[in-house]
Order: sequence, then structure tokens, then C-alpha cells
Amino acid sequence: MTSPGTPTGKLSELLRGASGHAVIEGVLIGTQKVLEHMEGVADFESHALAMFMRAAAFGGPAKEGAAELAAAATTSPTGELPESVSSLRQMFVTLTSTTNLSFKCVRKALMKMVKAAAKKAAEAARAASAKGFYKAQAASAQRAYDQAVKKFADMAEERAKKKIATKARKDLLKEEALEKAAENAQKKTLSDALERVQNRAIDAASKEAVGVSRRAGSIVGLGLLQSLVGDLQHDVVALWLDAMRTQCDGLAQVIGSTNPVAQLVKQACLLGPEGLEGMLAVLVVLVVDYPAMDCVCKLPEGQTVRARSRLACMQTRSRLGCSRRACMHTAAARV
Amino acid sequence: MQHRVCVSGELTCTEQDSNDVIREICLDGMLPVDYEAWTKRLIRSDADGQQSMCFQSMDTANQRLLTAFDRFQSRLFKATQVVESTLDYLTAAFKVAGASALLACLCARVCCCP
Repeated sequence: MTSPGTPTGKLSELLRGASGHAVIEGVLIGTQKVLEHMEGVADFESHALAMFMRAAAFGGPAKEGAAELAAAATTSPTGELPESVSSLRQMFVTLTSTTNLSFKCVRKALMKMVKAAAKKAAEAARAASAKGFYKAQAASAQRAYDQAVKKFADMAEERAKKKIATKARKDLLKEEALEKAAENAQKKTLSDALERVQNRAIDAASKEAVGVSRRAGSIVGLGLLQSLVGDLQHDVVALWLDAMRTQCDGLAQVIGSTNPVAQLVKQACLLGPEGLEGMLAVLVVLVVDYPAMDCVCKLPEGQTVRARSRLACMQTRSRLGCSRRACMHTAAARV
Repeated sequence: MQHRVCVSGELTCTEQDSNDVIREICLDGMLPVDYEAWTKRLIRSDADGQQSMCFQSMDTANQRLLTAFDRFQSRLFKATQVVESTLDYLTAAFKVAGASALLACLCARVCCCP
């Protein structure tokens, strides 16, 4: 039955009782099925891109995430689909509406980006705490310098007092000049040392910040794409491929449903969504399932705990920008 | 396993549970929601359970890969089956037209024959 509110439904009602109504109703139902999923039909990319741009225009963490996702989508192997898939997709995107899927995709991507931004912020906080450590080191050097200067002054004063009691005024003046020169030289040496420590601390902190940001960016972009593929697989089937199947059924109904030509059209049309679903399944297994299991299941199977832990230690070291020696030392000590 | 902290610009590694490494490395990347839940469930189970979950999951993934194009092939087979009847359907009109034309010609020849 056609929906009474739609133009095809009204037309069907109008022709009810007329000769050939049964045939016309089949055609109308088929037409409605095809048109139903063509509302707001537009290219998936343009839809999604427009929404991304709108979301990115608000600024904040999504802007950077969108840039990373775009970079990962254009450079990673998952972003470059085979030509047959692209042509199939092109054919169906001009027939089937992808508005719902685009909305869902953008919403998921934005959520993931915010999550990634939070992780990045945590990394930055860790780097900042390391920077704080260097600052504390610089402050302690400053304290040591002050203490040394004070001690030196006290000692000089003490010595001068002793000399006042034992030597003549002239000798004392000469001695004071010498002491002052020595004090100045000592102060200069200490201030040079302090400056060196501070410069080293600032250099190390800025290098850390740049390194953390770069590493986090490259990891997040690709991870985001894989995560999106994994999360959206069911939505792609439900919102896009199922709509295509309904349209194929409608197309067959328009032609006659039971005659061989209609059957052929239906089967040939359904080859599109079935093929796309197969390719999606392969993509999900290769891009999502295997890497996830490689990470989780390889630990007890292929690698020893010590080797894995050392690898983990190295990875964290590289993330935090620490030196390599500590990892090597602890691993060597344990062996 | 080791716990990692950055002290004095160097990395100090201390003993830590193996599940923490999975939590730190695997859950640190952006896993899909399904796999995140699966990994958390795996961390909570014992060693045998973890192994069994991994085997099961790997089998499922392999099976999915093997059967990915089954529906497509089934549909292709159905389409080829329909092709024959479609050709019959489409050429039926020509067959009828051709047969009647031949009959008419024969009749005409018979009639015209001396």
C-alpha cells in the first residue's frame, strides 16, 4: 500500500477502482520506495565536508582534529579506495541519500576529536609538569647560588675582622681590594653557571613540547580514521546500504516485480550494496580487527612480558621525550 | 611489567602488572567502542579466559574475511540464473513474430505455386 499522505498515495487513491489499478499501484509503490531514499540526495563528501567545515569554524579542539583527520584520510591506505569501489560508490551516491549517514559520521568524528584533544591536553600537561621540574631545578640552582654568595660574604667579613685586629690600616685596604676582586670573580662564575642551567632547562622544555605535539598529532589522525571505520560500519549498512536495497526492490516493483526482467534488474541492482558491504567487511577486518587484536593478544602469545614491557617503556620514553639510558639501564639490571 | 616515569629527564621503569601495559598502550590509541569494551572485558578475565577470548575473536575475524563476499557471490549467481529466463522473455516476441512470418511466407509460396 502507498502512504496516503504522499503524492503517489494520493494518485493511487484517485485511481482506485479504475481498470488496471493493481498494476498502477505496484508502479506507484515502487516509485515511492525509490524516491523515499532520494530526499536531499547529495554527494557524501560535499555533505560531510560542509558539516565538518561548519563544525571546524567554531574553533576549539575540533579544528585541529579535522585537519589531522583530513591528512590521515588522504595519506593513509584506508583513505584511498580501489577504483571499482569508488565508481560503485559514485553510482549509488547519486541515487541514495546520505544525509543521515553524514550527520552520524560528523557527530562521531567530532566526539572522537574532542576525546583526542583531551588526550593531547593530558600529554601537554605531562610535558608541562616536566617543564615545571626543569624550572624547579633552575630555582634550586638559584638558591644554591644565593647561599654560596652569602657564605662567601660571611667568610670574607670574618677574615676582614681578623685582619683588622692584626694588621695595619694600609695592609687592610690592600687586602680588602683583593677580597673584592676575588668576590666579583666568584660571583661571575656562579652567575654564568646559573645562566647555563636555565638555558638548558628552557631548551629541553621547548623541545619536549614540540615533540609531544607532533607525536600526538600523527598518532591521533590515523587512529581517528580507524576508529571511525570501526564505529560507523553498522551505520553504513543501516543508513546507506539498506536504503539502496529498498530502492532496488522499488525499481523491480516499478518494472513488474514478478517478470524475469524485473527480477534481473533487482538482482543486478542488489549486486551494488552487497559488493560494498563485502568490501566494507574486508576493510573493517584489515584496518580495525587485526590491529586491535595484534595489540591486545600478541602480548601473551608472541612476545615475552619483559620484551613487551621494554617496548612499552621505550614508547613512553619517546612520548615523554626522556633520555634513552634509563630504559636500557633498568632492562639490563633486570636481565 | 614496568611502570614508567620521567624523572630528571630520564625514564625510570619499575615493576607493573601486564594488564596495565595493555591498558596503557592498546587503550591509549583510539579503538572503536566495541573493541574498547572487548579489551576492558579481556583485562578483567584470567589468563586462560584472555587466551580463549583472543582465539575466539581471531576466528570470528577470519570467518568474516572468508565470508565477506558470500552474499555478493550468491546475488551474482541469482542474477545469472535470471538472465536465461530474461532472454527468453525478451526474445519471445521475436520468436512468435518470426514463426508467424515464416508460416505466412510458406502459405504464400504454397498458394503461389503452380
